[in-house]
Amino acid sequence: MNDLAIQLIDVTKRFQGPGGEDVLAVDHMHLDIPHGEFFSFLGPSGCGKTTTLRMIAGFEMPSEGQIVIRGESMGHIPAFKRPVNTVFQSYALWPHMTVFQNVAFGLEMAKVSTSEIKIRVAEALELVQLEGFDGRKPDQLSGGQQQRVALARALVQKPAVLLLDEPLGALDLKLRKQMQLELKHMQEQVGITFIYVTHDQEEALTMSDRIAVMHKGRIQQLGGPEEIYERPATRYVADFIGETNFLEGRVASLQGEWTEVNIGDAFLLHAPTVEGVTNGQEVAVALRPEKLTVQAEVEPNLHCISGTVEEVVYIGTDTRYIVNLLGDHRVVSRMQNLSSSKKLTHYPPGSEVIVGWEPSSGRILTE
Amino acid sequence: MNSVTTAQEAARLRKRREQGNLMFLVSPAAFWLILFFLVPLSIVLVYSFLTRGTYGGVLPIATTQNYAKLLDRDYFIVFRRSFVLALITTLVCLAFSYPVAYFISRQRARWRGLLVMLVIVPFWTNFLVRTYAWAEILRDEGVLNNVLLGLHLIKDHLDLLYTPGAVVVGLIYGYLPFMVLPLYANLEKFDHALMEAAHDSGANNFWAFMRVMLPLTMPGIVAGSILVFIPSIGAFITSDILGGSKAMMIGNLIERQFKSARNWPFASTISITLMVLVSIAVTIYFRITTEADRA
Ligand SMILES: Nc1ncnc2c1ncn2[C@@H]1O[C@H](COP(=O)(O)OP(=O)(O)O)[C@@H](O)[C@H]1O
Ligand SMILES: [Mg+2]
Repeated sequence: MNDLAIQLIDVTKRFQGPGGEDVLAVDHMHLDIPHGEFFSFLGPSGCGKTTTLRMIAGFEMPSEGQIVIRGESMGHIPAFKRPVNTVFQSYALWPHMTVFQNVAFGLEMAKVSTSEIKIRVAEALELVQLEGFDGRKPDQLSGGQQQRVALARALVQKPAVLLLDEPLGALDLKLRKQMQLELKHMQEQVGITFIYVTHDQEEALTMSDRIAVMHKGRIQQLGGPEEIYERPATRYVADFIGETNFLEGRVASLQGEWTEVNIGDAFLLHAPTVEGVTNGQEVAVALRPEKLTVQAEVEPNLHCISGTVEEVVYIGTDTRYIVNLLGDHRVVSRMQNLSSSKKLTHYPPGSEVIVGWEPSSGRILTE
Repeated sequence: MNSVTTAQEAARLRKRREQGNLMFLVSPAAFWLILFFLVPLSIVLVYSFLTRGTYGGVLPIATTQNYAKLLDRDYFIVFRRSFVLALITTLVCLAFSYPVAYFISRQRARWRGLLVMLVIVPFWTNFLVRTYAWAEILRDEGVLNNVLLGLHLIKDHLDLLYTPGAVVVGLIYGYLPFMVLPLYANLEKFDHALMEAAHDSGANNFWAFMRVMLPLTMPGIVAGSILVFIPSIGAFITSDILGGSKAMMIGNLIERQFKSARNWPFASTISITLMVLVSIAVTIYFRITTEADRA
């Protein structure tokens, strides 16, 4: 029990909607987050990520269930007494205070001595690479610098858990990528549990130890980045994380490790058996575009289905093919443009081609 | 080199043209202020150094006698009373208005407009009528005394009307909206996440308010205080109707000197003195409050 930083036990949050109706923002959530983990909530806008974070921080109280931080049930303990700190999406820096005052505030409230405050603020500003900015006001900083101050303000208090609500959302792409890596390093350096909220799947995959994919207040899937990406549990997850081809069909036979699926009576394919799949069940087989190759010849060991190229899009690193497979199943394939010296074969629209993939890269989805 | 100077020249000309345009825009207001504010004020200033005629009127004989006369203890008492009553009015208005403005600012957008309307509804009735209504409530056989007597809460009627307290009640009632509105304008823009950030950093409600909300709403507090304090210290109708001769204020003094005493120079002296004192008070107040913000 003691190695858990956060436990959510059957946590539900209802809001009153504008018309007085109940809005279920978080729906009976169960979750254990161990110490030192970089944990992400990933989901589209409105799925309840912020609400979950705010309940952990103590800005909202759960309608049902309880929140346990380091083995201690939070009940109605107010935000200012909880051993967590938040990096707000809008940063929420106090505009009338300097960078130093912003970072020092929490320590002042904790009645830390002036001399120690100086040392710790300096350390925190060094950690976020803002030495020498002590005297500036927030409006004299760039967005990225403000973001760092918000981070320093939270980290200086040495919380058990750091909560981050889309902290990079307002930054431009390049800075965001850089900050993703920096945040990850920082987390490893300070060893604090990070709970990170984002709607950006790439961001979640890059940084997290584990990810909870949320949908309508529920966790749809919980797992490591690879698991979430390679073995999505539901159509929703497969669709939300990256690009996916869905081949709709019916289970033809179960053969131990392999399941045979009949795709609209056009062709049969094999994919690894998943838990709970039954004979005759309506399923979808999910295939990532990068697992599909477009080629001229049938190859052994691959599932090979013939089709017609409909569209070719060259996007620099890759070429995207949209191919209409046998039985009118449209799929997207993404082929890396590996080497310019090795003449790439291009298949113009209208070409008759073979689309091939390893049977193990198909993922059967039952819901 | 040449092209640089011409570019600078052009920029300067453009700037001058813009300034010219701005001057054009402010000229009606400037004209108005000069004609109806600066000119009369100058007349009052000049009068304050002139001598009173035997039967009223103003004699063009320079003197500082009027200012010397003002040092008299009786006048000092009126000035002090005005200052204290205006200060109490301002503080009570602030204490009442802050929660109200905060409450309104936290409502849903469609309720906020309505609530702000309710704050200014009293303005729909004439100020004089409303002040007389207070006299009706506070007088010996008035509504309040009758109710209290009827409930046997008091044995004899209370002397409420014609007291400084009655004046303060009337002033608070009259000027409360002037405090609520600027505070509301300030609080409505206030980002509540800043308070959450303070709580997040371990500040309880008291400290979050003191360190974050109060300094950031200081502009609203300053504006509201000035808007209440200045008309309160110069109040005339309210103190006339609710204070009578027992709670005379500077405004009543000036009125008497202008009208019944027919001493225009002395009335001008009081007016100028009030204006100077208020300017000093407001400047000091401004300094303190903005200093606190900067610290
Ligand atoms: N204070 C609130 N009052 C009413 N509804 C709210 C409130 N906060 C959030 N909601 C609703 O709860 C749901 C989840 O919101 P939120 O947690 O902000 O989602 P996310 O952060 O994933 O975008 C949304 O439908 C939102 O409209
Ligand atoms: Mg959110």
